[in-house]
Amino acid sequence: MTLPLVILFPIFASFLSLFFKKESALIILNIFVIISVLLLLANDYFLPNYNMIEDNFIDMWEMPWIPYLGISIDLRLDSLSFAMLFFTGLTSLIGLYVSTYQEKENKSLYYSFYMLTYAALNGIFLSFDLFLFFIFWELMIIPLYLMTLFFGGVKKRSAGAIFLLMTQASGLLLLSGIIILANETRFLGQNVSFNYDRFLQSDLPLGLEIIISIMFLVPFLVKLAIFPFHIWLTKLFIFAPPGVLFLGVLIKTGIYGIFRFFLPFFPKSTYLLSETMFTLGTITIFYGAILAFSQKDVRKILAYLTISHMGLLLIGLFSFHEQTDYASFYLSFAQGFSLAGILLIINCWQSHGVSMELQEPKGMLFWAPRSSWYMLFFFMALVGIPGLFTFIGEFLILYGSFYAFGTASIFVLAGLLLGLVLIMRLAHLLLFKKQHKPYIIKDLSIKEKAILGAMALAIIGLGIYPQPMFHLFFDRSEIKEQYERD
Amino acid sequence: MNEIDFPNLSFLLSLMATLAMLMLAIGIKRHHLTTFLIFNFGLLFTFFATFFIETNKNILDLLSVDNFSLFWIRVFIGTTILISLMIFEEKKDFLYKNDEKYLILVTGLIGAILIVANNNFMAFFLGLELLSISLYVLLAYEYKEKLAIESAIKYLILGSMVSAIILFGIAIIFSQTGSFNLIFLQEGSSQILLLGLMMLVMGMVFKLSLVPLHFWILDVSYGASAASLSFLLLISKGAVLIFLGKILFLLNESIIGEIFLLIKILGIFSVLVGSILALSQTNLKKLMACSSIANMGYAVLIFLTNKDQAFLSISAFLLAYFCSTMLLCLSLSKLQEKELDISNLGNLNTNKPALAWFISLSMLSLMGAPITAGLIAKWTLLQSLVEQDLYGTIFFVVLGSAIGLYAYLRVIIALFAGPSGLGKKENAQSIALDITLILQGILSLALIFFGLWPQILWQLV
Repeated sequence: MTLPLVILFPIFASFLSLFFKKESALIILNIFVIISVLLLLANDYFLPNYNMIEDNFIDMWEMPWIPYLGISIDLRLDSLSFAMLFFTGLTSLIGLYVSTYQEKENKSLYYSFYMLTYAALNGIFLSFDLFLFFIFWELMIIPLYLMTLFFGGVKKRSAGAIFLLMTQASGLLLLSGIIILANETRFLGQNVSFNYDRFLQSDLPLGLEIIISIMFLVPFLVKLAIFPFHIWLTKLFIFAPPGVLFLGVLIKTGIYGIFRFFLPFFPKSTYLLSETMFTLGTITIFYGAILAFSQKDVRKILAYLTISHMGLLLIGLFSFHEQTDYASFYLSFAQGFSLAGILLIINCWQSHGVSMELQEPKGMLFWAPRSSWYMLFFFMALVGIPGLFTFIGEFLILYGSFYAFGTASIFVLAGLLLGLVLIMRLAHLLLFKKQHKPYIIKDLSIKEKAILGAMALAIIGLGIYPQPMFHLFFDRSEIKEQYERD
Repeated sequence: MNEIDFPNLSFLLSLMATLAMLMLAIGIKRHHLTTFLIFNFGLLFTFFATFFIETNKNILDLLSVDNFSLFWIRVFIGTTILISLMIFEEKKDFLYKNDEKYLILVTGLIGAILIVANNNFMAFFLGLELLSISLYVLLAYEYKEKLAIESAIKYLILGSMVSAIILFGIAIIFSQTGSFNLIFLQEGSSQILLLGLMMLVMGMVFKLSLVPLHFWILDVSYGASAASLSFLLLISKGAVLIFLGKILFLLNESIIGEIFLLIKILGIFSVLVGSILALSQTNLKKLMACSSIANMGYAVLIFLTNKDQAFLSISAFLLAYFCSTMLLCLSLSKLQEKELDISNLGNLNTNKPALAWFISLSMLSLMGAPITAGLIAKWTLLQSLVEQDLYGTIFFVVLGSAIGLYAYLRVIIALFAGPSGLGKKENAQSIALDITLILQGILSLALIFFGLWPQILWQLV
């Protein structure tokens, strides 16, 4: 029963949020909900009911929904899902804190949408029936879009519209791809079904498989903001409300989608398309890094940097090395975490009146030393300095890339170096170069110090000793052994 | 003639009785509320009477009601009740004496029932004419408004021409099969029969506003009031669509290929043209007209599946379409004149927030967003197309849907982020006793409900 609760609880909270007016009450409610969801998951994960384990799944929950079409609500929790859910929960908590910075009129609506997006994200990581997955896929966009319309910045209309249109249009492709695949996997005498296991058995002729796989791939690429489809991210990053941390998780759904649905269903396509994906990924890395050099706004630079990193993650997924797949997820968590820290500090500064345009250097080091040092630390984490946990992910992906694609990976390396130069320039302009007009701002408050301190400790700790995290999230085979032992 | 076949004819008889009582009531003394109540009681009684019909029985050699038609008769009755509510709340009552509109609604409903529940071309034609003439009058009811008269005259002229073509088609079919009964279509296979059928189908293409013959609906919708618009878009199109389905699935193997080709081409073009036209509309009524063109394109494409599935799929699709369009029409009836233009919608969120949310919900449903009935509609369509391996058609359907997305999106944007006046709350309405709003609420819940449990759709039919 835990799994549907993970989705229903936030929906219930979103409904309740409409009735509260004070922001503190809303925040307490939402923090309570997120933490209870995380605790439920942890309970399920660390103290599993051994009688229930089948295959590699820790928990399953199923209910028939539309028998006419063979659709059921099929929720399953395995270690990867748990990792994604955990990450989503953490990022949402930080995002909640960041949301308190903005001045809004209709706060209850904002938090209501926030919880709805959170529920939809949870649903995506848990659903194993493709119809259900599609519903959550589309559902996660709409509250985010409405949030942008209500609470966004200046150009919110065009930003939101491009976001919605691109994701919905590619969603239509996904819809047709799902339906075509469901009908192709219908064997004689059986009803059509949208269940995951049925799709795994599909054995299609090559041409058809490639076409359907592209119909599956394009929506995930759009979500990942890979090169031709990256436009929505650059606009939305600036003009979305501070709950933009959700965007970080949103992008990760692209990777999750590819790993969970594209790689298992279409093995032949994966093999054929891997070089194309490598090229796309490298182009994205370079594109993001190069375009970021000419940007004048800190958040836009970060947006392009995120795009660049997504290219790296894509390469990681398509290298045929088992560790590298997981490294993509690991790196995505790590980068998301660091980005969260950076966004926290940026929002803190913005709320104190520092504008994020970089027409002139800011020299924050002189006015807000503590937050500047944290900022520098998170910058280093984002780039991948050894000793911090992003390094491990980048290292593994590069290893897998050299393994699968040979010397062409030198371009990947060059792109990463560009990213490094970019961050150094950003740090210089933002933090170090002194300017004449002073900013009198209050430095970090105690809450912020606590959060940032905890994050920094996690980054260093996991950087030095990442094995627990790998073990925890990606390698729960011991559960199966214990089950077989008993 | 022997005795009147009471159980089977009772619903029609009750409708005619309602008609007579309405005329009496209006003749004796005009009182809007009384007329409204008589109308609704009559319709409710008719709804009740539909439970006594024996299905698939040949009534007077004109009517034959199967399960499918029965379901749709009930849906039409329900829709008409909702439309009457819109008429009841119209504000121009002092000038035009709206109570006679109920008479027109009854005759239109009888026409729609005849179209849906017949097995004879004569009955079909009778119903079609009854429906069309009711619509002409309904559109022209506000005779002092130029827009209304313009739309009515356009529809009258074009519609009459098309009725003549349909009649000619029926005559040709009669010359080939020797009877007006629909059953004999099954055996026909000559080219002349095909000619007659084509004329019939083209006439229906006009009524459904599919592509080459879609131009009328933009102007007619622009001049129609919300109630007439919903009658036009829902009942008139729905009835013709169902009859089209009926004859298509009676046809023989040899002729059916040609007609399917025609339907495929017209359907694809309607989807594309409807979506592209919708992109440039700024008036909500015209936007609804364009969305109706596209939706009829989708509906007609569902006919390309095999026979057993087709009726279920069409019913699911049409029901979803009915819900979204009805919600939108109910909302439109509450808007003032100037607010029909999209650029003026920005104020709605401050003044009438419930209305804004209902409109955006219906827009989301038309876009095909999940957990609304619109997604189920699109899903059914794609499912039927994939089963027949019609991948080219699927491509165009997806393309049309994607293009149409922005058209609906603009309304949502204008509602919530549009240029608004400085929050004037002068026209803020209290929601307390507004029946229409309550109904809108129920409809929107139904919309989401159908999105969540579409199984019910299939069980109902």
